[in-house]
Amino acid sequence: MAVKSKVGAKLLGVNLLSLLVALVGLLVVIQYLATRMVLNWHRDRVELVARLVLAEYLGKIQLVQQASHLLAASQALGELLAAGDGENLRRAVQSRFPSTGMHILTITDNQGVIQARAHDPGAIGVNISGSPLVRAGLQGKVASRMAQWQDSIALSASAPVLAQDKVVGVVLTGVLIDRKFVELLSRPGAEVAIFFANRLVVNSFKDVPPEALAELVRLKDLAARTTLPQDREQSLELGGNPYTVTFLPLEGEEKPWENLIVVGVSRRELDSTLSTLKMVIVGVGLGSALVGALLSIWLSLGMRRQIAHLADGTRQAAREELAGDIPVTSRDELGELADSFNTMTRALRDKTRLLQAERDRIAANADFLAMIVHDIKAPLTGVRLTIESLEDETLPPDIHCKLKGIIRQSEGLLLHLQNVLDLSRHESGQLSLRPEAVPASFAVQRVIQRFSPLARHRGVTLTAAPLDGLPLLWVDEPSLERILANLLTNALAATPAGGEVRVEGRPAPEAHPPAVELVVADTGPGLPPDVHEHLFAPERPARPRAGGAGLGLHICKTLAEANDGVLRAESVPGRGCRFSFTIPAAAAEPSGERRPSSASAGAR
Amino acid sequence: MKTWVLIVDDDAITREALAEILTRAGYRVETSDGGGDPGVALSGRSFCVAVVDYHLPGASGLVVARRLKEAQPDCRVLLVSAELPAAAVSPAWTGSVDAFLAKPFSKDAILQEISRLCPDP
Repeated sequence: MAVKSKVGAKLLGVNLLSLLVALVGLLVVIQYLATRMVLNWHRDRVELVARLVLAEYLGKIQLVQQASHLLAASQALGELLAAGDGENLRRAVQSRFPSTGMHILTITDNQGVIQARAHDPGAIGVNISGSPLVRAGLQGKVASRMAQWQDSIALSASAPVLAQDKVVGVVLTGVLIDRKFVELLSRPGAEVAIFFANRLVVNSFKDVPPEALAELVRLKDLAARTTLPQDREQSLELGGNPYTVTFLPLEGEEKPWENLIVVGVSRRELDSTLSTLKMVIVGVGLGSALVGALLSIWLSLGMRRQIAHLADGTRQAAREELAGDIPVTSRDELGELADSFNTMTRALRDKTRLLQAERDRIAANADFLAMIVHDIKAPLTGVRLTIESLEDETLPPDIHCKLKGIIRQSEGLLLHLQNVLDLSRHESGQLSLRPEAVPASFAVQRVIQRFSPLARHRGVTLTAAPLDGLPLLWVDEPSLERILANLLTNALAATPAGGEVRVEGRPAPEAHPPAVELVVADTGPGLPPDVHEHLFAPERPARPRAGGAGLGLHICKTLAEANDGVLRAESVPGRGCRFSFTIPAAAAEPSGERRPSSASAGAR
Repeated sequence: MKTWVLIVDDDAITREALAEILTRAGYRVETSDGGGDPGVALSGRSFCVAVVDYHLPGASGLVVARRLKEAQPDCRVLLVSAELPAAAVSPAWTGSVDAFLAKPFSKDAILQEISRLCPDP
């Protein structure tokens, strides 16, 4: 079936919304953590590269020192120096120079005066024999340092040349700190710059304009002032490329923040990693959102279907169509609800069946009663007609009187039977009324006529007020006659000889729609006040009036109400009773066609 | 000439009492217990009124009434029963029944009704 559940759609909406919120939150957290991890990794890498560069630099120093050391240890050089043989010394230096890998090689005598010198073409004019190094050599020590000569910086070392345990000279070796040097130090993706005496001397950064390098200098000063190691790493844009730079002060020097190495690791790789990461996270997020949404829809489908079934079932139940069980499609509280709903409707169906059976039983009882009444009425006709045919015979007057009594008794019996039948039909819903326009005077006169023999017999005056001016009544005629007959039977029974029973009629006051009020008044003893309360109940504990009026008044009330009327009783103890009932007036229309029954219905 | 009245009732007591009352009132009476076909069996006479009981052992009083009307269209039918049968007022039977009298009725009631249906006895 099609799922048409508003609650279901809302549930799904809530589901998807919370899924979305949770997912966005998760993505933000993952993004934050992942970015932090990547940055940490980058920082570690920067540190690692910096260490490698530093190690390389230290390796260079060692090479320079080693070269000076090896040359100084050469005996031949010592002898030549000791002998003051300048010519051969220069030749020996020239011949050995290429194998040292140095840019500059200088040898002085024990006075510090240069005796021989060799240099690379790029290092012509560079003098590395700065006094601190020569002084150290003359004192028999080895030393190394970064030294400047004019525009060039060199990394140089000195070692004493000994002959017979006497210092006879000093060997000075050096390599130029030039672009080639820094390129050698640098790693793929990492560039190196060297500061000497607070001045940026050389760097391996490519395509960086000089003004951008000013920023590097500013950063260096900033780093020099801080004591925290992490602040020595800075992000910097150099010539359009992002770098993370770190500073390696050459601690061995006297002024560490004047001579230092700067390592810049390109962030380009980092940025691409970060954006790839972002894409992966967003992709995975979208994917899981899609999967979650599909799962949500799939999971809620059963629920929504169950809700739709429940709503349908409830609507049907509200229309009293308890046709069958609704399907139980989900195994949760909703399923339990559907189960309970089915149990409830099953119970309702059972109850309805029982109720219907009960109704059928009552109807069958009513039918049975109707059959019995009918079976009594048929022989009663024979009895009555036989008695009445006897009346024509010449009979003694007392027998005649007794025969009249039998007829009256049979009429009383008939009224009781009819009351019982009407009541049972009313209770089983089979009391069918055929309202029609009836002139009040017509119905009243017929009943008066029927009861006048009884009244005469009792010595009671039975009269009817003129009713010709009243509007037509809209009433089921047999009902009207039955009400009047019951009220008259009661009134005649209650009124002592010499009393009066009177039927009156008038338009009911303040009645909407218009109605007629008919009154049966007697001059009997009236009703004690405590009887009023259950006067119209089918059974009364005490019977204040003769003639078994209990069921009669009950049926009067029932029939009056079935004809849209109201039955009321007024009584003044000692003065008599007035039973009044209203009957709706027929709407202004010509008195309709009369059915065959209008001729009679138990008339007399 | 005296008027003929037909009485169709299965209850012998009722039938006889009614016959006596009507005879005394000056009618000529023919009775039937409704067992045979009164319309055919009694076609020799022309009835002014037929008093027909609704509940008959054989056919319904309405069927008897219709047959009577077919045989003698001038005959007026007075249906008697404890209650007016719902079928009697249905269009299918309109014209078969001229009047209805509820059982038990009094001598005066039946005489009044017959004299209304058959004004010149």
